[in-house]
Amino acid sequence: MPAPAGPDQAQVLFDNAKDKVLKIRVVLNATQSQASVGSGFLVSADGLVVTNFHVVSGYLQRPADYTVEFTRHDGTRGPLKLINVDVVHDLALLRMPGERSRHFRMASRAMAKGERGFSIGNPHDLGLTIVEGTYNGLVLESLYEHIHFTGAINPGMSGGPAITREGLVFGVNVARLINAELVSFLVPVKYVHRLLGAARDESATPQALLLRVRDQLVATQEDYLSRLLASELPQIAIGPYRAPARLGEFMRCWGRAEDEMNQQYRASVQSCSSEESIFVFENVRTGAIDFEHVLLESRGLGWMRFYKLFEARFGSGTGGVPGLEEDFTEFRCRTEFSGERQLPLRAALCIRAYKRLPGLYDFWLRAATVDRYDKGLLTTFSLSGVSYDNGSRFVQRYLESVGKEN
Amino acid sequence: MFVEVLERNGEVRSRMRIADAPFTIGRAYDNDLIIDDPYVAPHHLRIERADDGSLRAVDLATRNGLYLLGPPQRVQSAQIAPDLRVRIGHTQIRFRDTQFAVAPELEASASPRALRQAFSFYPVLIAAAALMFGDVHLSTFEQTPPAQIVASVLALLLAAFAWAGIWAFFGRLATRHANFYAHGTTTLLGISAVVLTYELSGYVAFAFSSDLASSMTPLALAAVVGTMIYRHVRLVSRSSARRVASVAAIVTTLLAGSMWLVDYSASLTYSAELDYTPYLKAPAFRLAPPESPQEFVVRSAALRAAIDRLRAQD
Repeated sequence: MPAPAGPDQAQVLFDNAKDKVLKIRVVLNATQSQASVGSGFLVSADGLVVTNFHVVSGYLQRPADYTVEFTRHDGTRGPLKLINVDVVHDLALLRMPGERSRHFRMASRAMAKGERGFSIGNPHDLGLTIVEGTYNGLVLESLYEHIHFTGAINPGMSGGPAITREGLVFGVNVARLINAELVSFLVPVKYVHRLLGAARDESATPQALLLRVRDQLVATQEDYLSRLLASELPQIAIGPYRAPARLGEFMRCWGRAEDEMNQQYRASVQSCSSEESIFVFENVRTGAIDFEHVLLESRGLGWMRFYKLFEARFGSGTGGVPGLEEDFTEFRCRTEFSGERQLPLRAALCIRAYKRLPGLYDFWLRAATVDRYDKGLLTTFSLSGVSYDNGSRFVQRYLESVGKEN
Repeated sequence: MFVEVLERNGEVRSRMRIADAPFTIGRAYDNDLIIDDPYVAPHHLRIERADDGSLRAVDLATRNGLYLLGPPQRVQSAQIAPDLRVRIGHTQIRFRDTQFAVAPELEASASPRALRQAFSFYPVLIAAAALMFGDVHLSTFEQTPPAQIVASVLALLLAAFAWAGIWAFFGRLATRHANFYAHGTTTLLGISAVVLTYELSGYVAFAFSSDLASSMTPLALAAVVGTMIYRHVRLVSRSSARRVASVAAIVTTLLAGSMWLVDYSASLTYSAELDYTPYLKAPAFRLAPPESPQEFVVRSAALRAAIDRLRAQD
């Protein structure tokens, strides 16, 4: 087929889009140096700008120390005011003061799998760039809805638009899978519509927006945990025991065995993870569920050595969970026997609170079966960013789901 | 009458009969008793016989004078009575007469002391080595050649011997008796007691599902360490049991206090650790009943209160 004459499609799209896309920076007031860089795009003639929440979250964390700024393709700069957020879908809405401007329109039709799309942004602060890729549908196994886009979205392009060949926005660049080639994710445009349609108070202070972030996180965990807790947790058999199984499509599970040559025991490990979490601040991600079951089986250890091994495994969690003092309280823990009639468990429960997000907690539970002298099940879960009541309910359900296999 | 020059620890360094008065004491070579203490005057004391036959010690107008003991009191002269102690310069001297009643002899055992100490040392050594072997063996989960375990036990034993050797060396200097076996017994018993205390407190904490046992562990360890210090110091000094006991108590308190201070200061800095009770023992050792999952959650409510208090502190 002969090459089409005239300018390339991406070239046309870029020319048409370049003055509607902005570089967005969070700048430290004291030194005027940038703390984070991303992209954003104009969505209305009166200067509404959409970007990723994670591009501007540093400002929300310390509003007194930082300012949000835009830079246009032609080099003009100015301040932006943060007016609304959707932390769960990683979106933020900002207002650019001043003149009327050109802006993007949203796609209203559904994309087809395999359709070409173009992602625009500012990768690694290298200047405005357009990248061609392929729409690959919604990620089904996910707690938080995303479009799977096969294209090179790099850091700095976050918050930029993904457009159809007609130049209409169908998604917002959000993330890229590390250790994979070209596997990228977009926020579906319906959440941009929702954010634009939501009631907004443009005089909202950063403190008020932070409370909104908290409320959104509370609502989303309420939503997915009430679905999870509506019925009993699914169970799988692990050796002579039963334990919670993959909780839904959103979880990935992996198995491995520790079975070295001279080792006098065998450990069979199954771990499940939601793999996804919500970016709130640097070093603070919430909304993840992970659990792990380890079945230990003695191969001639004798019960004293077996329990030394089991004890070492049980106690190995004290090392901790990442977290900084500015974001979290310390953990407080309680260790007790629990479990249903037939199967006593030794259970350690540790909880901490989010300092800037009152009402949200991280839960960590480890339980070990105490019924046999040559086998044992060690199970651990962590649940981040949930209300105390939901966390407690989950702990109860989880403990109820550990039992003996008939 | 005898005049005795005492060591600081109360032992007699030298002893001399006062045959004739006057009798002179000082640093110069023309004295009857010569004391090599730079704080003693060349001619310091003269012992004179009074008309009634009693003896007096008279200060020969020296710079540092003559002191009675008890509350130190400088005197020009002192009436010499049996068992009187005085100080000149930095030296204590004591007077005793021939009527002084000494304590009856101690009962000697037929075997020499070193042999008796060895009798208790070797069984303790064997028991401690077995305990260490067991401890290492229980904590290896691979098929391990016994030689490897023996090697690590030997390393521990060598460290114990080095510790006992240091005490024996100082004991030899201070009392002329090394008492290596006795120091070794004390060291090995101490190490074994520390290991067993940790183990036992883990079992108690697990059995009753109580943190009380683990919070008492430092006290038990302090008692073990205090007893070790007492026994070592007893062997290297001639001080009374009561005095050594109070020294051991003070040293132990200081050690425990500084450990507590280290712990306390660590607790002031933020930690993302999960500080739960890590003990897990075999089913037969569980005495406390399990809570139902619902009870477990309800009774964990205190955690929330504690965390919300932490949050409110900021």
